Amino acid sequence: MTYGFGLGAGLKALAAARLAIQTAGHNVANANTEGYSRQRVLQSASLPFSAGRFQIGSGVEVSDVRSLVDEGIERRLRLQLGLSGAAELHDLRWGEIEGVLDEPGAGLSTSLGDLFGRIGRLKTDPADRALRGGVVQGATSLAQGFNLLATRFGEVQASTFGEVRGLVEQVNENASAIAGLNREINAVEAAGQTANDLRDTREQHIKNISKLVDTRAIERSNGNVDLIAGGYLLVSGTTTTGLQAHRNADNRTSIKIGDSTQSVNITGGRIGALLEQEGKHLPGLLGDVDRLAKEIALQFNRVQTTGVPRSGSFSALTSYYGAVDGDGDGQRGDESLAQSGLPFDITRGELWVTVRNKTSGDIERTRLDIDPALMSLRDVASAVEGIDHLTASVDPAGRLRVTADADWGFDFGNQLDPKPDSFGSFGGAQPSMGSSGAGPFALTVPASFTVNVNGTPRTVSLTASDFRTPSAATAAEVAAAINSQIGADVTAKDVGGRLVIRSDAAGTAATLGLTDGTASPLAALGMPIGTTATGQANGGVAIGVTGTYSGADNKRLVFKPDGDGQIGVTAGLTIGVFDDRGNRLTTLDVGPGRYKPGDSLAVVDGISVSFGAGRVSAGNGEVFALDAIKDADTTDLLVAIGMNSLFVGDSAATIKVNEAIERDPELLAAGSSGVAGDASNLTRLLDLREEGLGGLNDASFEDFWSDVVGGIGFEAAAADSLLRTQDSVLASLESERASVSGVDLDEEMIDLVRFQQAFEAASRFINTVNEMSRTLMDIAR
Amino acid sequence: MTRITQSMLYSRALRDVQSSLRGSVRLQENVATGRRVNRPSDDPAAMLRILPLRNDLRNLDQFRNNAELARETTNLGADSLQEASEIMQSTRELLVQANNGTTSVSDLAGLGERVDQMLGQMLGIANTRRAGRYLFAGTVTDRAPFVLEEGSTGSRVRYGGNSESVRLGVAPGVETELNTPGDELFMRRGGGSTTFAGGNTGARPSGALDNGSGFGELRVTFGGLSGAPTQVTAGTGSTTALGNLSYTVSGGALSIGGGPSVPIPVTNQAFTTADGRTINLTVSGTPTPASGTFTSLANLSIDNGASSTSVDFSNNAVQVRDSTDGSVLNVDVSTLARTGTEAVTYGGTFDPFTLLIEMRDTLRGATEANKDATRARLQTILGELDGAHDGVLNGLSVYGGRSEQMTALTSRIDSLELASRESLSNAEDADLTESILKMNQQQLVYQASLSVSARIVQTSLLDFLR
Repeated sequence: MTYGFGLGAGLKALAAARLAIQTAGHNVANANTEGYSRQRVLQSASLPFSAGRFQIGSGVEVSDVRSLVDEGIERRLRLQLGLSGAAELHDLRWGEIEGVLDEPGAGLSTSLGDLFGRIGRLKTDPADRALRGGVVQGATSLAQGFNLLATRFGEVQASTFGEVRGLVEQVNENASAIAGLNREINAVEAAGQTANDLRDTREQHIKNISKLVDTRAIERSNGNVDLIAGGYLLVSGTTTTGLQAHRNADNRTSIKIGDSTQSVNITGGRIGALLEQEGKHLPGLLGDVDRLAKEIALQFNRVQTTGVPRSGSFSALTSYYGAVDGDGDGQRGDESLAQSGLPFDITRGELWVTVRNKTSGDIERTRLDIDPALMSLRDVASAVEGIDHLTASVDPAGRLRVTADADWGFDFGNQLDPKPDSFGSFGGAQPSMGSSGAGPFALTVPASFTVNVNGTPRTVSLTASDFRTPSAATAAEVAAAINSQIGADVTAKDVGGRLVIRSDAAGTAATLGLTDGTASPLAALGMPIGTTATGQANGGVAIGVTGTYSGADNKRLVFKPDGDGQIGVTAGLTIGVFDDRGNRLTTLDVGPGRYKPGDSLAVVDGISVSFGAGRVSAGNGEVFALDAIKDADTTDLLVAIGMNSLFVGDSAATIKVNEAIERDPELLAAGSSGVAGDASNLTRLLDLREEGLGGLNDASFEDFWSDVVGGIGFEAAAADSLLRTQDSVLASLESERASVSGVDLDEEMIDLVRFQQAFEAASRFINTVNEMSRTLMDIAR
Repeated sequence: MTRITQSMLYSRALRDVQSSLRGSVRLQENVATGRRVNRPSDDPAAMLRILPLRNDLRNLDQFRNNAELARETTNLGADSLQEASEIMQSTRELLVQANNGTTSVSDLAGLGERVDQMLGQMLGIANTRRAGRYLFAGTVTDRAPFVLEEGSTGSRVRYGGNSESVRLGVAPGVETELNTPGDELFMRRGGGSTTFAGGNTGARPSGALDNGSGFGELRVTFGGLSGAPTQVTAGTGSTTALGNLSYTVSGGALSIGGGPSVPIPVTNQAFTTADGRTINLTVSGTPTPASGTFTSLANLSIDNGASSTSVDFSNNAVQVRDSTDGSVLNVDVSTLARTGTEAVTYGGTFDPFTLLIEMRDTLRGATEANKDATRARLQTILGELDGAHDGVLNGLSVYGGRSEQMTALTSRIDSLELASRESLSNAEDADLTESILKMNQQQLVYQASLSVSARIVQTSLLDFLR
């Protein structure tokens, strides 16, 4: 043993103590540094040397300064950070959405309820201007409520891209920091040292990324960490390729690798949550709001378009929507309705156009058969054009414009025709003859017959060109042929599918007779032959219809006398009422003692009819038809093109109140007849409130919305509770980590005291060795 | 054993304080708004009940307003009908007075003016308005439904409303009629028998239902010849004989209906029948055949000759139409023999207006000469009074019943509303006592956690190392 050796051991002890104190100081200094793991000085006894029979210790040696890190906890922590980050964002977003809804408060449910309330108030006086204005106001604020929702959701949606881009930037920064640290750690550790602080910093960067995306870190044997984010190798050793947020054509955000087109599917972390909100939750929600807006527009407009405004029938009306040029030929309105780009679907069915004489109030109703697959908007226009007193065209913007002659008006209401026999083919003042049954009729062409008007024979020839199919000729086709040939003296018409020929002369002196000719067309038509019909005085039998049709679907009632005689005079005289298939619905007794001319008789489904005095004849084939309309537009054509709609637009963003109605609330159709107190349309609207609607999964407007709001509530509540759970898991993981890697100041203090004492002891040892040496020296002196 | 470090203490303390603060904020919001559910996520399940309940409440509000409106309107209607009923009552007194034998003809005319005033009042009542809308017009609420048309051929009140009624929802699934169409109240006509009086034309009511109203006049005039023998045409003089007439020619003279023979040819000669009727004929030669029957046609008119129905006696049932209002009179012509006029009374058809108009016109037209006819008419009118009153009285009972029904409904709506409010309150309201208690508790927890945290994080070994 040498004294030198003793001093050496002392020196090593001093150094070890100093190192330990320095490490404790380092720990204390970094007690609050995020991600810092406490370090420990690992000491071991240095190699002993042999002194004869003994091994003698040579003091202490510092073998390593090591961070205390539990890799398992770190891994779980990284995973949890991702989950917490996502939960935090979901909670934030759902909270935002809830705020936008403003329920229960001034949200859509209030506007919707308020609108129905205003409609209910208008029903108390449908002619009141102020109450009408109230309904329009209510509709406007509902539409604005939708617009606001759409805008706010849109803003939330649009903010996603910016937010994601910022977060991706953070990912990239952290990724390149990791790559840089990989290099440094590599360099340090290649020299056999442990790069504790660099590793801590790197771990912190990995955690930063974990919060944002779903990440997996793989430690390589050389100490490098590779980072996989969204299945993509973000950091490989010392290189990294950044991610990039990209806005797609559909305004959705996607994440791509560098400048490539290859996209990464990120499902976790804040970014994953943002993408999920953008791609799933928000569109679903906006879809629900849009669905409600569209259904409201559809249902309200169905009622509005088939009503009659307070201001009466229309003189002119232009559709709101135009057909789009689907086939790109520069022409609008020549594509089939189904391909005209209209916002609402048109189904096959019937459209009833009512033309009203504004002076007399008489109405004439025409049925148009609409087939959206075969008909274009121009075909509709020409069909409307074919109705007397109406002109129709498709303007260059593809919109349908219908105009009525002066003193005439048109509408799409369902008011019962109060005078269904304006033609006069049932006990009319002019003599008339009608076929015994409804068409089609099997005619053989060429054919001819003679009409004797006041004794003057007039011949009508029928040729193949008059018919689409002569063997299935319609009453309308025969009528057109007659009108074109002898229209100056007689008028022929299709009355409920039957052919009626009527003299234009009225009164008791007017006569009409028919004689069959070549190919016997009259026999085929079932017309009375060989008899003479005489007109009557005083305008003939006056027919009046009152009531409101309450049946389930559109129906045509055909009235025919069951015998010849005078209303209220001829014993046993009855009038049969048939449907258009010829089935007898009921029989009206107009014989003496029971009926006095002008009395109302109940027919079916809320319809009443009265017959004035006069003569009717079954033999002459007298007949009139009454169209009982439940729904004047079974096709939704009027809604689809927007003919005096209440709402225009078909989504939450676009819905608004038709400007024409906003300007003039008189255009609001409270009823279907234009009469001041007629509130039948308002009743239909109020009925809608309780109705389960196909477009809303058979829920009513308000129930659907309640479900949406409730659904959002459930999601928001779930997000909130998930966030709490994740937070507490995170907190417990963090305290687990702290319990392994965290700095306990008390502990460090104790270490300080401990190592200070060790230092003091080592000093004392050196002092002792020193004294020993001096004592020896003194002996030598 | 888990190591506890300072940072753990700090973050734990922070979390505890935060979570107790969060609870406080929620409770504070509950107390401030009085509601437990302030956003859907507060209680999504309750939210699903809150929205429909709120809608229900709004609906009920509307129903209450409607019921209130219906009650007011009904009361106004009932008041109007009460007034109308009173007018009918004074009509009776006036009629009795007029029928009193001591009332002079000039007094009758004066009474006529009183009736005219009553007619005006009745019109005013029938055209009652509420908030600018006519109450008794069906749904044509913007036009006066009853219009008096004074014409040279008689006056009538025309109803311009319709037979619909304004309907209001007054309770879930319950609708009430706000008004009764005016024609049911003021133009309600019962069915009765038609009688002819005064005339001796031989025409009789056929018994088929007629739809004239009040008093009318059937005018029977000569309408030409049918089936006359050769050489015989109608003359220009007056003819009273109608129907089938027999004739015989013998020895250059013509006898009609068994009357005295008159030598022929002759121009515009009145022939008299055995029963004293006359027919004016021009006979230009010797008629053939020498004997037989021919028909003297009749023209029947009930609109002062504006239109007429020709009778050829081939059919006994004839319907005569009034071209002004389309009403018809069914006449049995089997015994019709003479021209003339028949005073027609359409029994049971007197509505308040018809009654007042007929009464007024009868009183105004009273002269010494027609005194008896006037009295007879007044008597008839008196007999019709109760029937005329029926529509108004029916209306009164309907309106009275409806008013009661509305009062009952209002209280039912009130109780429904109370129930809904209670449900809503259960679903969304905060229990204030509980919230405040909880809030105090939370405050306590908060303070405790603050002071405990403060104490723990304050202490460190450092404090004790010297």
